[in-house]
Amino acid sequence: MRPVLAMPKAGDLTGARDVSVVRATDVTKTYATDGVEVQALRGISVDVAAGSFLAFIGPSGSGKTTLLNLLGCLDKPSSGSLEVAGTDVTRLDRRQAAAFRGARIGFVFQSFNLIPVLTAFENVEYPLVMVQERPARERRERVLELLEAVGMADQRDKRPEQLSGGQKQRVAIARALVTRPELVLADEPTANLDGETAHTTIALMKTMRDEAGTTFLFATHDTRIIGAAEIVYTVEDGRLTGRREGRS
Amino acid sequence: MYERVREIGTIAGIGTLPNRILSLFLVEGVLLGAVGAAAGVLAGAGIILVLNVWKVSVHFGGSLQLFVLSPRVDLFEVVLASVTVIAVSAVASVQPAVRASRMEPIDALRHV
Repeated sequence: MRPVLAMPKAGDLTGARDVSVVRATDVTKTYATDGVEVQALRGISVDVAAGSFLAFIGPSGSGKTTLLNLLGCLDKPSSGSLEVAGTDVTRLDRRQAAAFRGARIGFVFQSFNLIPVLTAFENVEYPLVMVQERPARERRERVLELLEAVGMADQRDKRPEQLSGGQKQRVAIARALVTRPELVLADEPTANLDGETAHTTIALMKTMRDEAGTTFLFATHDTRIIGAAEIVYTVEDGRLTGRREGRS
Repeated sequence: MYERVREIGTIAGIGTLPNRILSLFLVEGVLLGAVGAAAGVLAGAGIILVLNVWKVSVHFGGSLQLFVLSPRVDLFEVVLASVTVIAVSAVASVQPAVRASRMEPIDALRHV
């Protein structure tokens, strides 16, 4: 499923799609910090087709991470409408939002966010145990499959403090993919990876997209991800200011 | 709990339900109490055993009479003390457990 090219127009870069996994219309996000209002997003409209491999790029502080947080139901827009996987996520309460995230979304956080007391294996297994409650045999198979795919099977008994930044990143990627989510949101997922590992990881995610139709949305500065993305949106000052088809 | 805010944000972010986070913290509190009580019982039993084997004798309050220590403890007192420790630990974990379960994941993830 390929996205249809739409003529970019700042603030409204909606393109025609077959099946949308994300549909955002005029989304804004305003934070109040010490009595000062900061507009992190200023009217984002974007339509993302299921199975997209899409990157949001832009300078630090432009609103990429805020946008990913909203798409991942970690936060709510100040105004505008937002549908993710056919659900109006602005109406979800805290419990419903958690259940929605656990069932439909995988996250790769910018700073890995592995649980320090758990081993690499247990970190990847965590969402299958505590969120999706999968049986032990299925968990073991899936976790080992993912750890193998990211080249971390031989490090599975190590705790995060015993792993390098790149290794932690790979464990975090495995954890995001292990639940086979519809949508994966990844904030700088390859920032700490060497060239070969980044290439392998991107290939793994593309395979998942091709085989399972998983949608991947990245916030990144990494040219390797940008080069692999099929659609690249530019975020500047809380607005979408550009859209282009990737080279892949 | 303060140093575990990001961890709470992570588990909430990846979809752990609030009531599950609550029970995680409560169970952890009870287990900490149980481990503490077990360690206390073992240490106390060890000390009692040593005192009984070594036959330690002391002069109490400047008395000329020598007392040989032969401590004993009633099983009921051991159980009562253990249950009290576990109960206190469980009660003490209620407030942080409730706070953790009510935390917005985005706020917890931003925590430095």
